[in-house]
Amino acid sequence: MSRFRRLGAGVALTLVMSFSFVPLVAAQEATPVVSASPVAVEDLELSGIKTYLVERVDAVVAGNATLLAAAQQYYDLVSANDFDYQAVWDQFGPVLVPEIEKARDVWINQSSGNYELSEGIVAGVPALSYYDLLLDAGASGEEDPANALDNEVTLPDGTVLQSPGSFYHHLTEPALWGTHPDYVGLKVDFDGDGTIEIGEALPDANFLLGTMQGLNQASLDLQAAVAAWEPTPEDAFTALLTMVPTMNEYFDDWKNSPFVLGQDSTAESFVAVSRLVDVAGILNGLLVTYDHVQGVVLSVNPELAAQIDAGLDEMMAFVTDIHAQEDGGTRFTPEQADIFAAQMEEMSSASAGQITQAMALLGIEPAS
Amino acid sequence: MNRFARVLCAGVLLGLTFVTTYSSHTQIHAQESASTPALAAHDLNAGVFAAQSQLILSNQDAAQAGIDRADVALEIIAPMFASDPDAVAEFQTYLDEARVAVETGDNIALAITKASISTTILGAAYRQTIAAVQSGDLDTAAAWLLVREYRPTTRFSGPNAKATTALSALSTGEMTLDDALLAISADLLDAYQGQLDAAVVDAVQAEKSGYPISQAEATSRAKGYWQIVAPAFETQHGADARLAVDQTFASLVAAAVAGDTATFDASIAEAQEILGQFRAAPMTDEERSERAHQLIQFLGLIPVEYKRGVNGTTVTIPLEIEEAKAFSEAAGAAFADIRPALNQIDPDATKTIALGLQSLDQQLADARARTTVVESSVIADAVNALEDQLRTVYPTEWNQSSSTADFDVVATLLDQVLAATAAGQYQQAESARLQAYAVFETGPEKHLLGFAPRLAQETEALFWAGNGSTRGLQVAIADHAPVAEMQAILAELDKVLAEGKQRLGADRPGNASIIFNSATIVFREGLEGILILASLLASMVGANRIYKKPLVVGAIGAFVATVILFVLARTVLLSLGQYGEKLEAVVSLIAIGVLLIVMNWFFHKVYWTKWIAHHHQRRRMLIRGAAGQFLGLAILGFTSVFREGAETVLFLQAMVLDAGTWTVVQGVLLGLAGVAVVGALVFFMQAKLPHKKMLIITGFMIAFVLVTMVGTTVHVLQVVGWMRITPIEHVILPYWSGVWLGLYATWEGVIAQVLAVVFVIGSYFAAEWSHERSQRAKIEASMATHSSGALSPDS
Repeated sequence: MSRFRRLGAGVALTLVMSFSFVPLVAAQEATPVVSASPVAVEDLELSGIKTYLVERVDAVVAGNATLLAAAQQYYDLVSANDFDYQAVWDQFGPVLVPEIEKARDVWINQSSGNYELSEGIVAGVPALSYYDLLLDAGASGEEDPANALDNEVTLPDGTVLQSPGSFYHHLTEPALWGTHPDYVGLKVDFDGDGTIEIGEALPDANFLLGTMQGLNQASLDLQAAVAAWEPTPEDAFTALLTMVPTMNEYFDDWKNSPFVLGQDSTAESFVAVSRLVDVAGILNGLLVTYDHVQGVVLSVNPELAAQIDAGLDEMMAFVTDIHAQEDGGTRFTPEQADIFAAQMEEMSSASAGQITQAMALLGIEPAS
Repeated sequence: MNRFARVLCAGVLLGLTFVTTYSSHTQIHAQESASTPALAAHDLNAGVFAAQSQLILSNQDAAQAGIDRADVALEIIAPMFASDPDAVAEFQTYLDEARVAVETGDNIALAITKASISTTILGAAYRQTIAAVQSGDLDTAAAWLLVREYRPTTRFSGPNAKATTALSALSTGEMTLDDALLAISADLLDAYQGQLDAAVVDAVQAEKSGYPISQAEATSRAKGYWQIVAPAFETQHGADARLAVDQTFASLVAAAVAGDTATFDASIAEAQEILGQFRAAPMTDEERSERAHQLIQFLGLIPVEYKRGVNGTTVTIPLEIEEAKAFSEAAGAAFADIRPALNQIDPDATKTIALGLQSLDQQLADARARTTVVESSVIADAVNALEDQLRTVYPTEWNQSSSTADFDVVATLLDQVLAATAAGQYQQAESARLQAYAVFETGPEKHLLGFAPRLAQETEALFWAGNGSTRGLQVAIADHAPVAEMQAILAELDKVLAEGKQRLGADRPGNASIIFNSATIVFREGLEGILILASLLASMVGANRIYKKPLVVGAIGAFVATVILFVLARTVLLSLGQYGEKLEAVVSLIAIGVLLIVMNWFFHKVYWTKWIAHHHQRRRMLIRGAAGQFLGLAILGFTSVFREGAETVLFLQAMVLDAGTWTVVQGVLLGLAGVAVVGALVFFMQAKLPHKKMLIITGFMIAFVLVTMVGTTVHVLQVVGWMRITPIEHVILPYWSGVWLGLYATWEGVIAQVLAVVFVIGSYFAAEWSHERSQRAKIEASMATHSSGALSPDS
């Protein structure tokens, strides 16, 4: 069962790895084999969760270093031209387009992509969850003054962004894809087809460099936090309990994204990659996590262990199936997306309840 | 399509290979393993959903495969329902309908059937579970108990495991059959009622969004959940009423299918009205009382938050409005739970309260949306009115304090501390912390002091300066501690609070324990006062005897005031409760001020009196200073007793609620006897000592009391937030050092105590220096007189 699960879990990972030409076997090696046999809580071996996380976060850090170097290079170029984007485009357009697209690939496949694979654990473990808000999930002060992080990002020109939201989806993604007018240096026709489509823009160099610097530092901080973290059974179950019910929220994001609403969408984030990849990535981390604690659930209630297992499997199959159809060209209607979201809510709510029962039987309290 | 999108699609192709493999695997896995009720039910539902998700994409063949999968699952699950053939027949009928819906491409019909199948399984599994528990087949019960849903997760409630733990406790003999049955049915019915409410909301939302398939499915779900909880409704309201509601839900589904908006809206309104007054899960009297208490607590927090969040009619701190709205929702949920019971007491008042809560919630929603922002006084008035109405309609026992309910409120507020910290909003975190502490201090703390004083002290330490090994919340917030540290502190606090809740929720300790604890409180609080009184009284001999009177009058006055407080109406005391420590802080400051003056006077007086007596100047001195000294001593006598008396009475009153008046009075008498014995010992010991030794010992005793009082007062000032806290790192002081010596590990406290010692010593030396100087002056004057007389030709 575990072997198949990892293969399934590898789906999302494969989505990422395929871009960077890393063999699938690397993904499989990242997750040690865990035997699904009854085991006592005190005998749980959880180091595999950390190993998985360390590898993903290391990849994030490597990707961010590449992005930072690219942003610096771009900034230097634009700066040398007195921030005259038209002049830069006229002079360096043919060179810039592949460079920007390369940066976007790195953002999707190395940086954000690997983060999504670790998000289920980072966001679900209280000791690490701050970094999820900082990097990926935090709202901006404008969107949600009650819950936004009270952080600052300083741009090279000295501009300070107060509570700007997550580095991935509020800052670097809109900057790289030009979905926010303030972060655009110049809208241009990348492919010369006569129309300027979404994503055809030169980023604002000052904004891009400042936010990439922030992203890079945040990922280094996460790397240090992960290195210091020693997973406990409470952490593992809390990650499952916390993150499984969030799946339906991500589906709501997806419902409102251009992947469903097309040009009607006003979303600035999740335009580069479907939110479904995010969901699959999170589920991947949770599947890895459950693989490591399944034995202890088996020891108290084998039927419950199998039920949780089946529920998580079903969710992963469901998400990957919809994503496959979406990538195959299916454009779901808002009502279809709504039906899928309702089903995901039903499944995630049931799984969260089942995990709660397991924790109660094991006497495991949520970590805080 | 731009280049980026093409790259993405190319990458996904590789993933698709695994998607296919994985999906196939999952189905095989599920079918192979569907040998338990949980897995078979899972597979039955999954098959129907697969059919739905394919049919909405017009993939009829794939949809048919989903129905086939469900058929296989039904074959597996049918024998498990041997005792409930009607359920199996229903499943078969629904599956046949589903197959027809797929064949005709009728998405709405399939959606309705899908919901019917899933809720019918849940209802049948519920009955199987209860039957198995009743027959003592706990393994079967455990297997069926997994075929269930859970209450939708909200900010204030998540899934719980009450049924699972009850079954577990029944199997180990820790719970009786009746209690386990009650807990299991309460948990399941509560979950299905929660799902029913959610389904009604979903139906409304789908109708607004123009999603007919979702709307039909939600109405069918609502109808299905209703069928599960309907027997409970019938028990409460009768068969006719149940039939009427059955008809409402049937109309709801029919209206959704027909697109009949008018009937749909009318049915929704009817359903919401009925559900608002019905609670399926049986509640114990204790649970109802707790929810009633929580309702008052949550309401009380609304104006506090709102006032902080607005300036006039402008929202200044949105987070505070968010919190006010959250508390309003929590109050609404608590009201919904007790509404059926209130309805039986006074339906008209209950309706008025419901409307008041609704209006309040709307005002908060408007403020949050900035559409209409009312002044804070409007919200405060509305809350006051609601509280009055609730207290009037509440049964007597609901109006009494419920410390276990308070724990839940404290937990909710502590969640806000963490949320605010995570958002980097430390000011809001501090405000939530203070509220949490206020709830703890006015409720559970006083009860804990009776049952488990150590836990009260530990909790307080974690709320404030810390316990030596862990920093306190107040300090950590002031220091903008990282989230991880805050989480660690809150985890420790949660643990101590959980232990406290468990201790208070458990059977109360025996009367002997309550008597001992109340006696200890009275003895401890009375000790300082009696040491001062006895020492001063013993020292007032000879010419100073006249000072006994004001001191005794002040002390007796305070004792009488304390007794009056004790016998005052309980409501008055409860209203004073929230000011308990602030009252103590103020009275303590007065006491210290007076004690410092008296001490200074005392040291000087010791010497002056002798001198005056010798020189026959007593009368003049007394006339000059008598009024001030009399008043000072009377105040000292009063404050020495009353500063602890008022607070002690509040603690004792809480214990009276738990253990009854007579039990506590026995403890009070015992404590007072102990105080009296100590007082008598001090007095007679002092009286037997030589005058000078007596004065020295009295001085030491007053100094000791002063230092203790200063330490305690600083602590109280810190507790009420009037003085900052700087903990002494790595210093862990035992519990008794704080209780008996006023010694807490904070720099402010220790420095203040050192200053008090310095003052005492300084005062002594100042007096001695003054005394010597006076003597020297007199001697010099005398010598001068003698020498001048000797030399005078007139002498």
